Amino acid sequence: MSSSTKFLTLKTCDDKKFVLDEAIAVRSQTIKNMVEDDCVSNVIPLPNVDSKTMTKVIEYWKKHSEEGISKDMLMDFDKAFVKVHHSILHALILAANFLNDKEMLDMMCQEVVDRIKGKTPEEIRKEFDIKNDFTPEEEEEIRKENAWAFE
Amino acid sequence: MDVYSEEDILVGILNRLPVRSLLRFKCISKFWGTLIDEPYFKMKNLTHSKKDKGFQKFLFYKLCPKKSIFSIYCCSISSVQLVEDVRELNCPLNIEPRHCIVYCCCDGLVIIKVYENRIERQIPLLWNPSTGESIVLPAPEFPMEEFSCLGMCFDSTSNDYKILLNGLSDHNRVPGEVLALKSGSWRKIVEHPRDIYYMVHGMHSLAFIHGSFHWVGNSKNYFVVSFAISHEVYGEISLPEQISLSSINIGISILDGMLCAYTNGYIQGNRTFMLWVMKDYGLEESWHNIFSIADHDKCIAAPKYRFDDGDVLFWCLHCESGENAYRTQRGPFTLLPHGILQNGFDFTKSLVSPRLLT
Repeated sequence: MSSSTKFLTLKTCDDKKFVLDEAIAVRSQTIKNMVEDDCVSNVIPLPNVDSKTMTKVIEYWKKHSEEGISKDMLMDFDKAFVKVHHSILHALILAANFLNDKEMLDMMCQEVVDRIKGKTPEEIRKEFDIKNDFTPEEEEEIRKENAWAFE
Repeated sequence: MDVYSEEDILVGILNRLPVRSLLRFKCISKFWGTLIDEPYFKMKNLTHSKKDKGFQKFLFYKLCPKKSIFSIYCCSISSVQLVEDVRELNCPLNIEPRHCIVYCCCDGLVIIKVYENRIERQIPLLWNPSTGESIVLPAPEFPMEEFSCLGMCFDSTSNDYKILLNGLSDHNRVPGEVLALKSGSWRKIVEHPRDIYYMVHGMHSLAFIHGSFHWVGNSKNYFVVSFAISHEVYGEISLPEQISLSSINIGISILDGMLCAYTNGYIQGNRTFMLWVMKDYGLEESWHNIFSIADHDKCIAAPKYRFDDGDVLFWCLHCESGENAYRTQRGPFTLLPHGILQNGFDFTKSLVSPRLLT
């Protein structure tokens, strides 16, 4: 690394510190704005992100910043990267949103789409812990109206 | 880009889902149901579906000779694989029509006329086959005939859907009429300022692009008539010379987001199908001949869809027997199930309601 490399220290909500090359950290529009506005002191607090999630985010950022990495390699990496439990996926989406990394947010959201599009309402309720507040009659009505979607 | 709220993220995820999943998810909870029913969400989902070629469908209909009823089908559209997911749609009003005509499709809505057996009457409908909703369209002054040409579009100026009917009555031109959905009644549009006649026929709908409908007009030679839907202003676009000099079955359509023109004229005694696209809208130098196919089957053809690899799906109508088939440049294209096929349209499923949009 050249001597001009600048490092930033990121502090997650559980008080863990991550030291990261600024060139990589500015994949986050949020961090980039802070750097550009010169309001970065020594440590950038990330009150909405925990260390476990941040580790994953940094893993993603580093891979996507590697020089000379092929498109195919990145695709393989992304494919493996999104294969996580849905609670981690959820945390990663919130983190990508807070950090304002549109590319990462898009990818994570598409993963959710791919996971849920073939599912039944019951499976979605269970996976996302959603309470069914329809009466059985109301639910039956909606199902009847859209019968072909359940075939 | 701003940071989104959690609800915005959920909307961002849901709007990428296919219509079928969304209809299923309406019963998850009241929150999901309300969100999916929101007109704003429906438009967002439509915008996404239109952008994604994987969401592109083809809607066609056929006569089942045994039962003598018409059935309407929807399938995915791809040049490489055999069409596998052909699904029969429930006909609007749950009838089994002895006759039907589909005029055009726009944003998941279909303009269709069905023959209702019980009351022995033709009913023009605006229908969303995905949600099953339909409304009866008011009657225009000159009725929609078999070879009437209709087009439908969303006019962002008035934030309303508009339908344009360009009819022929006993082969004479009749004044065009426009129906703004929110107004609920047809209104005659101003006549074309020049004394020209129109060449409209029912092999496709009125081509809509760049805020205007397009069709073929003729005075001394053939040219494209454009009609801007917001301000109702006519314009003209020249046709490529080979087309404007031809006089046989000239048509205008949209392929791959471009205005296209075609003819089934004769070149050295052979009926030849020629297809041109206008790469830059309005720029006459940008007319570009995609291909010409000499045809020995005495068919007239109309282009229907352009695949990613450039191959074009077109619909061929045999001049003498009236039989018809779909084919691509490479050869026959099979749309199952077999039967007497009718016109087909590229189609994007949507949740958009045919009832007035708010």
